[in-house]
Amino acid sequence: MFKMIKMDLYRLFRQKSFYFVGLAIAFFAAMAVFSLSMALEYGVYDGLTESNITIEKMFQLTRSDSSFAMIMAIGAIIFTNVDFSSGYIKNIASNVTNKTIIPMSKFIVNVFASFIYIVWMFVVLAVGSLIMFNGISFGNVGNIVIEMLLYLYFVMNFIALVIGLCMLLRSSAGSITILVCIVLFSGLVYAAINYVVSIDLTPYSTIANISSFALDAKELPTMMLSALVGIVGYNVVGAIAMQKKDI
Amino acid sequence: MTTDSDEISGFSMFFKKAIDIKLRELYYCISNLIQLGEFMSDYIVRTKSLTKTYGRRNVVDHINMHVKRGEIYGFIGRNGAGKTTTLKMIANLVSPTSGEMELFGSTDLKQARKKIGVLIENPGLYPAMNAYDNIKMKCLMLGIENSDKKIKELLELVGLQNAANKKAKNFSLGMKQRLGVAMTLVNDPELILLDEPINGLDPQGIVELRDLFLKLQQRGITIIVSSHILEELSKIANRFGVIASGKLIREVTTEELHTLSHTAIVIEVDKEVEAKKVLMDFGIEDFRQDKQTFFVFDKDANPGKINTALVQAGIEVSSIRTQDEDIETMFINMMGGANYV
Repeated sequence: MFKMIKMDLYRLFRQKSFYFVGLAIAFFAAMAVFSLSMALEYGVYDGLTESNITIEKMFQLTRSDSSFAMIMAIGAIIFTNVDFSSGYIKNIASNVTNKTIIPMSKFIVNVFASFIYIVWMFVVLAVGSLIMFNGISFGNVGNIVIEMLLYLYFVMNFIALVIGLCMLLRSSAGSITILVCIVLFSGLVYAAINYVVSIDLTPYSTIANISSFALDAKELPTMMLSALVGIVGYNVVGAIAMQKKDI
Repeated sequence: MTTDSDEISGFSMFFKKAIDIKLRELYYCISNLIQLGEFMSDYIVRTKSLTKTYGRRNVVDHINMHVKRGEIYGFIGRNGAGKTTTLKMIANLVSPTSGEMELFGSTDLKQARKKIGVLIENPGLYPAMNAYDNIKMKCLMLGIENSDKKIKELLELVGLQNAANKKAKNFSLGMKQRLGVAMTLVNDPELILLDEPINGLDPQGIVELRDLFLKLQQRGITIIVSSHILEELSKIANRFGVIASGKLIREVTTEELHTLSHTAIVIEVDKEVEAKKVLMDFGIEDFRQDKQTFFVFDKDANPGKINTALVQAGIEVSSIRTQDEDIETMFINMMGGANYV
């Protein structure tokens, strides 16, 4: 497994998509700073003004937009599916003793990439905020670190979902299409279920958890537990798909 | 008159002989077992009723394949005969539906597959990475230390030493195939599986690849090459496995090929339906028809008598001659006839 991870890491930093995703995140983060400044100017957020906004709050507001997680997931799909689309998987699968380490390695490397992206997003946000808002403070640095780690935790759940999809479908186009549908429509589906049967499934939702978690929310333990189930479950699905499906 | 000592001496002689016979029997028994063991371990690939089913169709149908160590095994069949699927099962890319497989004399396939190199269908290369990086990735996966030297050697072996920094997407098909072969050699395999490696290559590329296979064989590497290009395969393979519709029809060595090839009586007629009836009425069973041409393989068939029978039946015989069956025709017959493409 460690050797497989080394191989995937070697490829990660040599693949253009890694840097394109970074550029996209930087662009969206810069746009987020700009749009937030406009929102603050027009008083969209109660109690928040240009004088009392912190980088901690900027990060909370920005990461609640699921677009960032979607961009990271698209990067993970492209990275994972290249093995199948190029046929390189034949070189790998024929020589490993256990094919289940292949999706596991992809998951670990993509989580590592997500960590880099989250830090990068924060850096761009912080620099943009410092430029946009004179004298802006960081806020509670400890909370920033916890938020980033929690964000990474919930993004891991999302990454596990897309890796599982990739193992099942082995198609970038198919995986990205389903991903976009999940991001765009899962909220509607949960709202409909809630309306019909009065069951709120959002604490268990992969997408909702990424955007709506809060450090002081009472549903946080439930959300974290459901994310853990998702991480394990999606990885198991991916491993079984890799083992059973012919190459 | 015999004495006691004579009797004792007689008994001991008898006893000695009996032990001698038993020891000799034991020796032959052990010797045969050793030979059997050597025979068995001489096979680097053995399959028993290996089958792969998709839906209701047996794409590979109970094949019993035997590949000896150190040989080039030519796996011949039409498109869709089951060659690629068979190789994929050996390479663990496809799970068999049923059957058994032994690799390197062992049923511990997980360990055995570490000694296999695989080039199945198109070479699996990352197009945006150069030749060096493509091989480097595999070295990392296999945990090969100090891989720079190895990569350089492999690129030199396949003639790509000047293309190490060129991206795979900019390679010609022949270069991609050669890089694919280099990838199969990263783990110093004892067995290489090559699926249609010369497809799409120009004549120069084919010659270069053929020479490379022979060079690899000289290094003691066993090679299974699948192809539908008979002419090329016949130049390098020591043994052939002929597969048709998922079934392994026959395994035959190059020497056996020559003894198996037939002399045929080739008859061209104007009325093929009537001609077929005449031949069958004449007691000829071993023949093949290709539109208005019949190839009669019966060793006892007499061309003169056949000609007379046909003419008497009102059939015009435009040509009748004997012809030695070439290897291609023989394989075509094995694979099921003249509609081979």
